[in-house]
Amino acid sequence: MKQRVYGYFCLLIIGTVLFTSIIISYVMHQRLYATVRQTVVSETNLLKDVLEQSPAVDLTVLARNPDLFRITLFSQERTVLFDNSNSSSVLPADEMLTNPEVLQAFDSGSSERIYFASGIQYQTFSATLRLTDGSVIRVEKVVESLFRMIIRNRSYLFFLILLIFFGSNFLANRLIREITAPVNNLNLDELSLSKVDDVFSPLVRRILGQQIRFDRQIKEARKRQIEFSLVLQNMREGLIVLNSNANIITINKSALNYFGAKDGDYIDKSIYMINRRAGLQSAIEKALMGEPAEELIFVNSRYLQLLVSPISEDAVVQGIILLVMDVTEKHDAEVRRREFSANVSHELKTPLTTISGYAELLKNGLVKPPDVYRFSERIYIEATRMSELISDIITLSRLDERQIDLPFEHVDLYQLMTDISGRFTDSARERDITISLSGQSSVIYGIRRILEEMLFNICDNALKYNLDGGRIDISVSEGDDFIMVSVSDTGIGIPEEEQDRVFERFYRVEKSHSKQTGGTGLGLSIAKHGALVHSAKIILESTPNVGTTIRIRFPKH
Amino acid sequence: MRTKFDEQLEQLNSELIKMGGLCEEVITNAARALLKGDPKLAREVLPVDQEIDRKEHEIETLCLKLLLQQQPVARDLRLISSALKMVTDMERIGDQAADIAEITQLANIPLDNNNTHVRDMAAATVDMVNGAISAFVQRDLELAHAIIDYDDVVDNLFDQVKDELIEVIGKNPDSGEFAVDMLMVAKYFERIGDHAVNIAEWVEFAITGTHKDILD
Repeated sequence: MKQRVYGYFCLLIIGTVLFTSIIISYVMHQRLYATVRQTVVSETNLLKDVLEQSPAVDLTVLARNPDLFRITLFSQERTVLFDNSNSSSVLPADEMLTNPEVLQAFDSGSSERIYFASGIQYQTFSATLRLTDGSVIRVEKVVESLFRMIIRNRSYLFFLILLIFFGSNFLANRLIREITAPVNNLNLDELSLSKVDDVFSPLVRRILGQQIRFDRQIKEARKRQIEFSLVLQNMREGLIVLNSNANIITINKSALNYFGAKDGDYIDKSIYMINRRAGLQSAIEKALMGEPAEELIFVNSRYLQLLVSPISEDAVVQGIILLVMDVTEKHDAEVRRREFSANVSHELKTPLTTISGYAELLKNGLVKPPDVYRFSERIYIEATRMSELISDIITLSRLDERQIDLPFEHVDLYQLMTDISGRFTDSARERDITISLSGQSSVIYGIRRILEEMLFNICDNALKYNLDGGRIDISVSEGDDFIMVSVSDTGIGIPEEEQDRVFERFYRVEKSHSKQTGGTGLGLSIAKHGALVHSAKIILESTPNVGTTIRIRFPKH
Repeated sequence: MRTKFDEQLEQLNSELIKMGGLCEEVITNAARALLKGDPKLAREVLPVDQEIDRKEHEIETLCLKLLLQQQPVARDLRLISSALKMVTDMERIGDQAADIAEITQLANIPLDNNNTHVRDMAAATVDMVNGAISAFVQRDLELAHAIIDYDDVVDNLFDQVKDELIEVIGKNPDSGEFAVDMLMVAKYFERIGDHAVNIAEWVEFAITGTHKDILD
């Protein structure tokens, strides 16, 4: 921009200077030439008059300065009578006789001629007149031509042009500064049409329009970003976005927590600063090759499921999205389920083997008639056990899946406990065990079948693992916001380190004992799940060889 | 402009991180297998150890190539020379973790509540290895110093385990085999701790240019 303004400036000024000087020089020269011509002509006339009046006049006196005028006199016989030039650089006088103006003067009496001498550097003015005696006088004056004058003064011109260059540069700078000053000084934050020059008002109007649009877009973008980052940061799953060098672009809080990373700035740092598990490495490497990957890794005592997928554009991997999920519970549940199915198969197979063994003996007639009763009883017991086991498993799986289509109703726990303890009266009496029930009528809102099952199992355990001649104390009490059912026995008790495990499925403190007492190993598991359904808490206190107390604390609804 | 040298240095860095990751994996799994008495998990340790050996070879080759072809100086030279030393320590960590896993597989070591010190040792060693690798990855001088200081804890734990085992043999001479296996495991842990310290020292050298042995 500046260069162009500068260029135009120079061009304009130089053009003007040249044009003006040429015009001025031309006009001046025209006038000079006219004056010179006039002078030459009048000098010639003067000389003619003088020579005609007094032919004896001494021309050397009159024409003593040859630089002023060159005066030449030719005789009628066309010989040179006088010439005041003594310079050798000019045309000799006798050669001048062939000059057209001299010839013309001899013929017609007078002539004038203006011509260039020595190229175009000098202009020669000559006037020639014939005297009355037939001789011819010629007066000549040489002046500098216009071209020579210009060339002679070229240093001034050059100096002038140089001045113009610098002057133009300075002026151009100044002009641009002045033109752009209002634009440069525009305060974009406080832009208003009233404060600027009219010239710039269209510009300002457009900027204002743009600003409003930008503001709206920025606000929109910021809002979206905040929404996005809120979602991202509060996601339960960890989300990490990596670039193609496995450096972090985005990472959310959950991901940092899962990998146990300290708070800090991890943007643009390697993912391996956070975790370097082989599973993670191989998943990322696979994704960088363009293939999605899944890995399960164990970090900080948790199982993390990694879902890694590449982001590709034109078959080139530009980045990776890494989703991290905590699957510890799922993994543990899976392990438990596997253990459970293994246990179930085992537990079902044991009575079935007994049944099929005895049945085979009976079928083949290998059993003596007096023993048939004993064998049948054995088959019956085992079949009952299996049936109990299966019904327990069904109950548990229903509780597990929360598929309870039984109705919630008001249940009087004291009444329920009276019923249940009644069912044990006979078997308790056989082993000389005393059952006592105390408390008052307490009603909760629950599922009768499940409550019955839970409490039956707990009482069943209290009886099974009791010592002959022992006691079972059952009490139902009510607090401000809870109802407590407590069953304590004077049985074999549970060692402390096993107390956590008795609620696990098929877990038995003493494996051999269970065979005698029967039972499926699922009783307390059912109780635990039943308590969960009722938001109740089971508290177990036990001392080996002293007894066990199980308290179930139901919240009042 | 990224020169080939920069790319190779970056590759060296990421290979070291990967090898470090494998070391963390191997020691974590070996410790878990031991504490859980899980021979299946212990078996998974061996292939990782072999992977570590392969990585050591790869990194050594890369380092030598860098040294010969690029003739690095100053900081780059320190990184490469400490990388050469670090891979040796990492490889030893892998081997010793594999040894622990082997003992876990062969000998049935019942780890009960009486072996708290071995548990502590395992946890402390895993932390040390993780810390040393993290110090390298994050170029964290402070963490490197913390790891170097932490070695005393592991050494003390080793002494305690040793005393306990002597007592166990004294009480019950039949448990001699168990005690010897346990002592070996504890010694491996203690050595792994030392290797973690070495790594931390080389990290310090790579960052500052000073090494304990040079200062002495």
